[in-house]
Amino acid sequence: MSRFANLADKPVMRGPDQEAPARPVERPAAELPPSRVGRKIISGYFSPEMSLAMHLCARRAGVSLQALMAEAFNDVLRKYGESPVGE
Amino acid sequence: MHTIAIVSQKGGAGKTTLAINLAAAAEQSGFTALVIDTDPQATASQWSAWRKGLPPEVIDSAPPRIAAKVEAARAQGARTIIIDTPPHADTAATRAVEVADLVLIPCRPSAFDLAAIKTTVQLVKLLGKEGWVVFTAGPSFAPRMYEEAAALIKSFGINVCPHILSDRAAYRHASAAGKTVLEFEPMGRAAWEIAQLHTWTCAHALTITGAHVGSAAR
Repeated sequence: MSRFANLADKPVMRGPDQEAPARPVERPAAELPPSRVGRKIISGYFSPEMSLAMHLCARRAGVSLQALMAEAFNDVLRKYGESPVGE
Repeated sequence: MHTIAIVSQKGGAGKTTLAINLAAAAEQSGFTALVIDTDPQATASQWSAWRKGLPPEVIDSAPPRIAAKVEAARAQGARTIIIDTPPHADTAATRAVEVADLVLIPCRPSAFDLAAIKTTVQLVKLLGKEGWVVFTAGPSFAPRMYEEAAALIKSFGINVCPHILSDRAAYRHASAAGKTVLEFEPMGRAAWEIAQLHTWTCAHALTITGAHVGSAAR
């Protein structure tokens, strides 16, 4: 019946009269993904054009948006006479 | 065998309605269709759950996995893959457009909506894909209005699809009942609109994918 269920991220949703999907693996709510441990979020609100340009630039450079932001922040630190911090 | 991305940075443009009904039309024509739902609101997935396994099948995907899923689904026999994207999501939209043969941009024929598609158009053009604006949820007969809207869209440097999905109750009633318009009212105008658009997308996708094959052979 289902040809592509193996490709879904989450168990495929079913109707109420069908068997319940497998319970997701439980994870403590406080547990952070490893990439976020010991780190802080920096965010801002920009125009859609800026968001799009940054995403496309990151894709072209083959890096994540976060890596591109780190590059920009280090550049601006140098511009203002500060030492770059790295990632 | 083709992949269609349905993209619009504006909400309420009819992306999911277009995605599920186009996929249904592909199934009705005998092609195995798959909808990849990248919207965290999971509207297409919810609709599929109401259908209890009836085709077209819908799977979810996080944006970074879209390309791998399209490739795997093709290997598993999917002939028509339609990627539904959320509004205001540059990552999902970018990944979907990158992997698509054809990009459809649903848009209501209103001043606000027309102005809002500029960003989407920019994305499609920057990635060098063929994008077409499909008018949705407008009046079924208003030739002057569509002419003016089409002229504005062409000034953005993008094409306008010759077929529209107009504002018809059948789209809302069918979705709410977990159906496609082809099932809900097979002889209705909405079903006719979807069938026309499907035939048109097949012809276009064929010219695009055919051109890819041709350039690869050279």
